[in-house]
Order: sequence, then C-alpha cells, then structure tokens
Amino acid sequence: MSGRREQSSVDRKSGEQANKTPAGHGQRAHGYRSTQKRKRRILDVVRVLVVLIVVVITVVPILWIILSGFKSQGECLHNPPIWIPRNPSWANYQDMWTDGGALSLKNSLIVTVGGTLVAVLGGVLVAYSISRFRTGGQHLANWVLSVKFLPPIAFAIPIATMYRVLHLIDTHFGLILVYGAFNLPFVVWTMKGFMDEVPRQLDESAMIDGCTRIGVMWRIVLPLSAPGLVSATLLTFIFIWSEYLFALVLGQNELFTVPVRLSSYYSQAEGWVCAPQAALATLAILPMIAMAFIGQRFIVRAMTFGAVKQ
Amino acid sequence: MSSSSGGLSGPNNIRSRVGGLSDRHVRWLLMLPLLLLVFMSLYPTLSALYMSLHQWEGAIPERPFIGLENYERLLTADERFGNGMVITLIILGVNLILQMVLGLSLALLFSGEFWGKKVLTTVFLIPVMISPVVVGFTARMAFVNEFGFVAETVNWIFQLEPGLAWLSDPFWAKVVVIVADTWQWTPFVFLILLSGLASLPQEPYEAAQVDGASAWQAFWHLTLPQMRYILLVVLLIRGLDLLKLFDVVMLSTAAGPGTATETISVYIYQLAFRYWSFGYAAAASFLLLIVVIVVATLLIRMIGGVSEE
Repeated sequence: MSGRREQSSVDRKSGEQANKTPAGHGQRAHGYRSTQKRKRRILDVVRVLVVLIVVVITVVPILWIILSGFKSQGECLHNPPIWIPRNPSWANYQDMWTDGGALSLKNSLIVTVGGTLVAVLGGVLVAYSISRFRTGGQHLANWVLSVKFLPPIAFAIPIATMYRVLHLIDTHFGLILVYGAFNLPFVVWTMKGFMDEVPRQLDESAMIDGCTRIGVMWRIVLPLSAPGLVSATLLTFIFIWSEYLFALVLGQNELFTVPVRLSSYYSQAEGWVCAPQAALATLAILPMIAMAFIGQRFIVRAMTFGAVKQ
Repeated sequence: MSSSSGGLSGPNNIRSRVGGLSDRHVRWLLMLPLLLLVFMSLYPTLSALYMSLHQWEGAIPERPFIGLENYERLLTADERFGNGMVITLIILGVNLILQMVLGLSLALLFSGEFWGKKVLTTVFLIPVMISPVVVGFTARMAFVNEFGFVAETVNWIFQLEPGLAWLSDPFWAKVVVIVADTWQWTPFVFLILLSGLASLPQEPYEAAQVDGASAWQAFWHLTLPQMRYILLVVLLIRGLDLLKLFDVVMLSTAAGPGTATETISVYIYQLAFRYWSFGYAAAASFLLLIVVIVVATLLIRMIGGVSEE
C-alpha cells in the first residue's frame, strides 16, 4: 500500500478544490478523477522503482568497499570480480592498523577536533557581531563567504612556503590553524542565519535586566540557535575529516591524515594493495555514515539552509 | 524573558558592563577571529602574486625578478596549462548538466510525501558525507582495468571482447571522473532542490489546475521561474566546487592516461610539489584565481538580479 499515504497528502491540496468544484459537473468530473487516480498509481510505481534503483546505485559501491576490507589481496583484484570474500578475516585491518593506519586516524582526529573547535568558537563570535551590528557591512560579509569558494590550491602554495619558514610544516598546530581559518566562513554564514532568527528585542531586554553583551550572546542567543550550532559543528567536522589537499601539502613528511594515507597505497614496487586500503577507507567512512543516520535532520538543514533562504 | 523593550533606543546605545566596554568596541572585538582568515587568505594571495613575478625554483636561493615572464609562458607556450583548463571545464560542464537534470528530475518526482522518503533522504546523505578521496578510491575499484566491479559487469552485459579498459582510454577515463562526481553530488543537488520545491507557495498550482494547465505547463511556467534563484545558487556552489576538482581525480585516474584527466588544480599541484617550480605554479594559481573570481562574480550578479525581482 505504497500509494495511500502519498495520495492523502496530495489530495489535501487538490482534494479540497475537488470537493468544491465537481458538485455541479457530475459525470465529467468523475471521469477526470478516475484518470487522475490511474495516473497517480503509475507515478507511485515509478517512484518505488526509482527509489530502489537509487538505493542500489548508492549503496552497492559502499558495500563493495566494506566487503573488500575482508578479502585477500588476490580476491580484491580478481577477474571476474568476487563479491563475497571466501575467507573473511581481519588480517587487512591488522596490517592497515600497524602500517600507518592507527597513526593516521590519530592525526586526523587531532586536527579535525582542533580545527572544528577553532572554526566554531571563532565563527560564533563573528556571526554574532555581523548578525547584531552588521559589522563591516555587506562587503565584509561577502568577502568572508567568498573565501570558502576560492580554490585551495591557490592558497596552498604560499602557505606551504610560509609554513616552512615558521616551522609549521608537519605539525598538528599548523593544520589546525589552516582548517580553523578556512572553515570559519561556513560557520559564520550558518550561525549568522540562525542568529538573525532570534529577535533582537531579546538581547535588548536582557541587557536592561543587567546582562552583558557577551552574556547575552552566550546565555540567550546561542542556546536559541542551538540547532544551527549543532549543524555547523557536524558539517565542519565532516569537511575537515575529508580534507585532502592541505593535509597533503602541509604534512609532506611525517604528519599524514587518513585521506593522505588512503592516497598512498600504490607503489612501483608492490603495485596496488587495495585490500588494506579498503579497510582504512571503511574506518574513514563509518563514522560519517553513522552521522548521516543520527544527525540527518541537522545536516540536511545546514546544507539546504544557505541556498533556500533568500 | 519578555521581549518588550518598549520605546527604548537601539542596542548600540546601551552600555554593556564589561569594564565599561561599549558595543562599539565589543562588535570589533568579536570580529578578531577573522584575523586568522585574513592571515590565511589575504597574505597568501599577496605572497603568491610576489612569487609569481620571480623565478622561484625549489631550494635554489637565487630568486631573480622576471616580471610577467611566468604568465607569458603559461598563456602562450604551456600546452598542459591550457589542457588543464579545458579538461576542468569539460568535466565541470558535463557534471553540472548531469547533476542539475538528475537532481531536479528526482526532486520533482519526490516532492510531497511519498513512500520511502525517509529512506531515500538518509541513503542519499551518505555520498555527500563521505570523503572525496574515498569516492575516488571507490571509482578506481569500480573501473580499474581488468578487475573493476562495474567495468567487468559492463563488459559482461555487453559481451565486450576484449573488455573496455576505462582507465587507459582518454575518453572513458573522463567518464570515470564524471561518474564519480555525479554519484557523490547529485544527492546534494536533489536535497537542496527538494527543500526549495517544498517552500514554493501552493496557490498558483491550484489556480493552474482549475484553469486546466498540464503538468508540463505548470512546471514550465510556475516551478521553473520560481525555482530560478535556488537553481542558480546550486549551480554556483557546484560550479565553484568543480573548478577546484582535485581529490577524486588523484585517487581514481591519477590524472591519466597521460594528462587526459589532469584538472587545473592537479596540474598546479604537480608544478609546485613535484617539479618544485613555486614561482611558475603561483602564477598558474593566480590565473586560476582570476577565472574563479570572474565566474563567481558573474553568477552572483545573476543571482542578485533574480532575487531582487
């Protein structure tokens, strides 16, 4: 009974008016309605089919990666492809773990948590200032946003040169600063949108009651825009966790994050060792998939927020 | 907390109590974190400009000033630079068309309530959330010559003998990159357009139905004009993302075969961190920056024009 629920909601719109108009029209309206019904049923079948196709196309590649983590190297690259590992084992996970996997996870965790903290803490302050005082005007707000869209490779080269001078290459601190900076615009933009929704009168009356500016921001505006804070934090975490270019360029020798480690499973000597790579890839995406399920509401809202709002 | 501030003047006139700091100071103190962004974006931009005017090769300490020579070489004598730009634009164009068409069709099909909406949006969120590096790796697993699970399935379905070697064919390698990016980002386009459709007012559709308009007419004359703003915004977000395409290419085709999928970001990366020609790479990245800014400004103008209507 896939059609029932769908139909009822569509009917709420068209049905209302269908109740009003067809009274005088008799036969003709009835015929019109039954073809409409048939059309709707066909549409439902199409929808179910499309959902199934889309789910298969989306899930199968991910499933393939997860399964490959349990295959032997021979099974991982095999013709014809082997879908289910014959002797599933954790061997790849053990190899991967000791061969840089654990270290890369540790590095990724440090720079992601650090970078997210910097971006969110800094972004909230700036967002409050722009939301309440329009500090810097439209031009500053536009500039902040534009930085997010510029190609990182353009910044990576001079930053790498600068970091060499400052001895920040291969340091967690260096990466945290870069990630904090380049994710600031996203946090500012999201939080400004949410803070704009909190009425300014709240700020004013709280200040009359003796609250300081900072107190207002901290105790009133921030809690009221908490959904925005959760969304911004989650997405910033995901952005940094996935980032590749800066990690590659600024951690050339010793400091490698998960994406950088993932990109180095090919060597002239050994060829492509894809089984442990799949194991590490699985560890890299599982937290993200978990987040997709748990934080779905927040993530979709944050993603669509900027675009839908005019 | 009552929200009645009555006839009191605006917040700017109320003194906050932190050491007598007035809002005039607080507002700028709160902006201090932006210094980090200035430090990481404005300074490097100027520094890149400076580097691009010098012959700056790896560890060689002499870095003579050579004026615009780097730019001249890039624009007149460097085929790989032009190649990178063209490949970036091809991949960008095809991806944008595919993702917009697929995303919009899916959004239209699934607007309103329907069976499995929750499943679809949840599953659709997964590609958006996983790292492009992993997407590139997955594309390689899917299409690698002789072993790829998609490539071999295609070979089997069409009984291709010998099988199609995706990654060693300049055309099909581009297809692999495009498929990977479309797989990852169509869901994003879909989710945004879906919420855009949900925010459209219903009345015009009811009126159109009364007037006997077909579904196609309703789409063409109601949905499309109303969605123009949001479509442009999505186009902007995705277009600018695609101009910096890097991760997926590195992991799936490694820019090959030859330079068949070498996007401009990949080429600049190679210049700087494989050949250590920092000055030359900085010039190339500066040109890229100009292209991006011009494209973005044009699109933002269009968006501004639409949203004012």
